[in-house]
Amino acid sequence: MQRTATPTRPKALEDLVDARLIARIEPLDLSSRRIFAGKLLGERRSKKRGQSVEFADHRPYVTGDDLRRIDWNIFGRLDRLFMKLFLEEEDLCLHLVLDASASSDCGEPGKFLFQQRAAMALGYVGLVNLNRVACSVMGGVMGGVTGGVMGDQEQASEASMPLVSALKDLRGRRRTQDLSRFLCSIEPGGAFSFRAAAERIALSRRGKGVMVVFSDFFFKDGYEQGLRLLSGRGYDVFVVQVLSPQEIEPDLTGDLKLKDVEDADLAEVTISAPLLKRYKANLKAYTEQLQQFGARRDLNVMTVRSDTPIDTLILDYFRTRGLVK
Amino acid sequence: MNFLSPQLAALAAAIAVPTLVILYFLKLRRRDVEVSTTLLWKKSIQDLQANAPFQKLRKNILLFLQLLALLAALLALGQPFLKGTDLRGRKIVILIDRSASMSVRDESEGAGTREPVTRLEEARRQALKLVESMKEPTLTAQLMREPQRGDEAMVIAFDSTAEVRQRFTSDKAELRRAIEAITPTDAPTSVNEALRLARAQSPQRVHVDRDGTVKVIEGQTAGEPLTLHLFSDGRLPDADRSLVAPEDTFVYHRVGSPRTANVGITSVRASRSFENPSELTIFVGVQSSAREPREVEIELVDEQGAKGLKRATVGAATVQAEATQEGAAPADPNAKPAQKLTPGVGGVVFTLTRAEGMLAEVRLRDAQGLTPEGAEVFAADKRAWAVVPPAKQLAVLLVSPGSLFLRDALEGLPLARFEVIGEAEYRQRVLSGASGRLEEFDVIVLDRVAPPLRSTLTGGASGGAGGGASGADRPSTGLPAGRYLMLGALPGMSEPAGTKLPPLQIVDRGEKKEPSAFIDWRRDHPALRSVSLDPTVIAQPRVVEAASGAVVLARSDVGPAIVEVADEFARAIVVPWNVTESTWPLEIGFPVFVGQAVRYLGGEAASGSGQDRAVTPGATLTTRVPGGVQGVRLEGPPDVVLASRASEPNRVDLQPAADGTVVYGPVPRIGLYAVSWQGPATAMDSRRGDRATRVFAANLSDGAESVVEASEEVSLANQVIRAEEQRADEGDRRLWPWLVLAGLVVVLLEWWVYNRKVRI
Repeated sequence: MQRTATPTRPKALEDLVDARLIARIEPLDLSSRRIFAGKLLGERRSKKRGQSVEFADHRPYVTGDDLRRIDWNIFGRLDRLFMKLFLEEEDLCLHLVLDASASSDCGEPGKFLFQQRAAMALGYVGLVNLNRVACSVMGGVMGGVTGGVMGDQEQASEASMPLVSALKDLRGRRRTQDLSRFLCSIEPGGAFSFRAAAERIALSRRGKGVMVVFSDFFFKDGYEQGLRLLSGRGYDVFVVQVLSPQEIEPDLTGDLKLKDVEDADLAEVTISAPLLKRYKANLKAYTEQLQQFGARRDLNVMTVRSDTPIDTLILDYFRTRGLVK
Repeated sequence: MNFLSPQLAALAAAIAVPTLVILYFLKLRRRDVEVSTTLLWKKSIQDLQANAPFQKLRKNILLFLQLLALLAALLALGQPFLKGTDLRGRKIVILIDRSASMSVRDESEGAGTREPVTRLEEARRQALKLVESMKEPTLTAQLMREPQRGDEAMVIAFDSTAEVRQRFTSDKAELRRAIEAITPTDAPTSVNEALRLARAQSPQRVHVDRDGTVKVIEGQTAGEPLTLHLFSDGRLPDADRSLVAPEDTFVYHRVGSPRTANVGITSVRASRSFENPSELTIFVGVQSSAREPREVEIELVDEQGAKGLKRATVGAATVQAEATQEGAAPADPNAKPAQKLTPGVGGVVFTLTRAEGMLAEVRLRDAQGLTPEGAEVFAADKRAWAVVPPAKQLAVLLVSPGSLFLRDALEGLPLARFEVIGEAEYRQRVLSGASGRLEEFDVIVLDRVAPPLRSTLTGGASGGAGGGASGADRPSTGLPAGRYLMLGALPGMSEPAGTKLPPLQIVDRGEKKEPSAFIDWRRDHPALRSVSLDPTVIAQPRVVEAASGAVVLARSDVGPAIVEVADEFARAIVVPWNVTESTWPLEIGFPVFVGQAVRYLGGEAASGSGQDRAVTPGATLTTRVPGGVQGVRLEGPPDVVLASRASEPNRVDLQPAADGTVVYGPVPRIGLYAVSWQGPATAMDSRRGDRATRVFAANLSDGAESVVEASEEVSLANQVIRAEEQRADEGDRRLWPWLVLAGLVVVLLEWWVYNRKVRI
């Protein structure tokens, strides 16, 4: 809950994903409940029937079909022409969205570190499987990253701080370093409008794919509009609400003046059992509301604690939800 | 439950309670904590506060507990108390009896092995309890410096006299100090003076006429009614002569047991036979309040040792309204009022042959002769002393033109020397300066002869003893030094008419021709004891005026008829009218008067009884020392405190008055008191080194005081008050310490709750 006392700032890929995790996630591949058409041929089954070894279906021959795909065995048995349909494998675009607002820099372990690690692990899975990986960071401050790595950096209209920094169209195992460098360059801080950031991301993204949005979704102006913008448009959106253990089980006592790290909003509370009970009920209602919103919008919403191990997240949470397989 | 200062508590509550609640609204200094978002917190607070604006307060047990603690403190500020004894009287007079009978240690009431305390100690204890239960001035009154808001008390200690030990105050420490400082005396009891003293504290009730004149209404007091608390054993002989104002409340706290019997000496009297002065008789009167006859032993001891031991049976006391005298003992002038208990009396007579002086001590013992009977219970009446002067007969000079009656009366007296001379010879002796010869006579009886005034003699060769006329303004006797019985003459009559007379204590206003009779006379005066003047008719009364210094012994219908005058040189009993022109010489009372007057004027010289060497505890010791002596000192029994000093507290220096009178009083305890001085001693004084010593015996000798049974009721003149139950034990219960304690407990509980709460 409180700002992370001594935030761990990862410097390199090794800080984000260790070898043991890599070993565990190496066999994984990204998946999507929906099969989207990719731009490039990839190792992903496409909706398109195409050239692959994997048989999909038969259909009656129509004029103009490639004669090479006629199933001659069936013609011999039924004396009718059927086309043998194969699943075409193509690439999948994985779009990772991170929340680098000041509120993410809270909790022990830090929520932003958790986001960085989860994003790196997912990005690694995406990159090694020849998927296109994009990464957008909402809010935050940049530090010490060369411009070359940046795909297109968009400046917020009036604030000096970029609303969304993004890295796009990474492909291939070699780009994992780029991704890790980008992720490590983000310094969380400040506040942003989730709606505005979501709008920008939604406008900038191309093609179709999977989008994973990490955030705590504690937006004072609401997360609904932003998520609405992000959903649809050919993207399978996973919403990962990252909460620190301190947010779930506040360890506060006494008479306190709570200060919001983002907008310095003050709330004077006297911690009492009913208040804590009420807080937890509110938190539960908030996450449930998010779940319900996601369910209505066909979003995959999950709430994780920031002390969840990344491999548990990847191998357990994401796999059961079909993000990886 | 009542409150002493409800206004103060209400005021404090009006300030403190809203303050506490407002403080809860304002909250405390809060710790700053940064959180990721206040979104949920705000919502939670709103949820909690949603229903009722005071829901937060209602659920706040800490506030509730704080209010509870505050309430306890506020109630304590209100000084609540549970009513114990009804102490409505805001002015309390604490009367503590310190008389001899209060030194009794009652045995039966003590709890077994407990050391029996004296009644005075018990009375002090009860009085202190009463003081403790007094309503204190409220805090408001103390803060506002309002006077007289709490109970005020006055402490009066009394025996035969009363003394204000502490004026009205609400300071309990002062009252306690005053009560604890009361020490017992061996004096008899007189509550009358104490009650009058208590009443004297109230202002007089006055009546204001229409024209504005203010009249004091006698016997009525104004002001707040008093509550008189009497701590006594109820042996108050003069209670039936005492009044308590009707608006006052009188509470009698009985101290002591009503079953404590006592046998005590009530009188000691030594007397010498007139015919044979060396024959000394000592009468000892004993009285018993026991219900059965008692055998007692009475021992007579003098300076050399035991002189006699006699047994006597003291009759049983009778408990009847009109008790008949039992026991065939010498009549004890029992001055007890009509009480139900008539003590049994007894007595013994010791007869000695002893011409010299004697200091006789009488001790009362049990019949077994072991210990002084009941000394543990009451010691004051187990010993008595009598100072017996040496036997001496008087030398009397009669100056008379010839009076058969007077001469006969004087010749009948056992005198050492008796001389009769005429007026001319007397004058010649006085004026010739042969006064030395006159001074050989103890008493000079002047029959129709007036001596020359001392003022005319001074400057002459035959001035009076002592110096010149001191205090010229003060009326004097005008007589040359000596003691005189003047019959049918006045000082100054010898002067030629028209002489300017110095101020005299008795002033002639001329003879009257109408016969006159006596109206009243002092029957207790030694010269007039057993003398009845009722049948006497004065044919030629003389009108005189008694100025200050003169004591009128008898009064006729024309004014003073027998007057005693005294100054530093002379003392005289003056009968200004001509005795021969009256029926008096024919009466039996005349020789008795002459004899008694001569003996009285002869002073100690004539006294064989030692009565003038006796003093009652509580009374004042008065004696005259020879003029010009120095270092007059009174020494009491060893255990008596006469002066407040560390060494020899039983010794006090006295300053003689101009006429040699020394006064000390009241005498606190029984025992022997010796007045000593450096200088000449009279024949009656003993000498020790260069100091002359005159011994006085202080005996209780009070029949009423020797009856030590505590009385259940006190009969005042206007009401009978029964002893109060031991209610004073439970005074008002102060509750504020308990409330403060409760407040503390609540605060502790609050601390516990707070800790428990914040730990969740």
